[in-house]
Amino acid sequence: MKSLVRELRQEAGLSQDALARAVGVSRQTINAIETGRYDPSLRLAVHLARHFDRPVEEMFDVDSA
Amino acid sequence: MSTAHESRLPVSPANAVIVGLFLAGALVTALAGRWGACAVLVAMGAGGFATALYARRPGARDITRVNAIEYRDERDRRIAQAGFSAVGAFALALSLVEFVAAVTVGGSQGWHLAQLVTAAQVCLLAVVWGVANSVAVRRS
Repeated sequence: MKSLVRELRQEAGLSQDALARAVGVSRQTINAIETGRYDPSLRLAVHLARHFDRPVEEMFDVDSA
Repeated sequence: MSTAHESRLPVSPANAVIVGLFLAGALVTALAGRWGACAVLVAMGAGGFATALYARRPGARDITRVNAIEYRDERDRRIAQAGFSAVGAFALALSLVEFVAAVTVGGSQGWHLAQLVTAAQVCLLAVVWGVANSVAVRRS
């Protein structure tokens, strides 16, 4: 699933590690989400959306493969 | 705001049980005077504990955490599920082979063969588990 996580993280000047610590997951999980290899749970998706103050449906393109 | 499970233990509950079982086995073998077996079980328990601590450190790789049963977040747990699913499917097939082999050979020979296959099963399942975890990590 495509997402805006990488773009928003870079805009915020955060490293993957810093974002991972902020939302309580591993750096590898953030990397897997950014590269589209891992679809986060609803809980994590909401946490990420809240962190960047964006609607969750704007953060994640659920219609992408 | 976390998808990780916090624990006060220095290792995961699963690893605490595994290490505890090794140490309990070591105690029983020591009471029975089987010092060689006791030393092996203590070494395995200590090795398991050290591996869990190594996997729990902040910079540990995902495959290291999953193989050591030290899950940090939801992705680790999902990878572990995929790995254990493969182990379960392989175990079913292997058990069938073991049963057919034991029934076909029969008698005491069949019993010895079953023992041999059971021992091989443990080793094979450990290998399958490691490979399945690696594949799941690469896919997720």
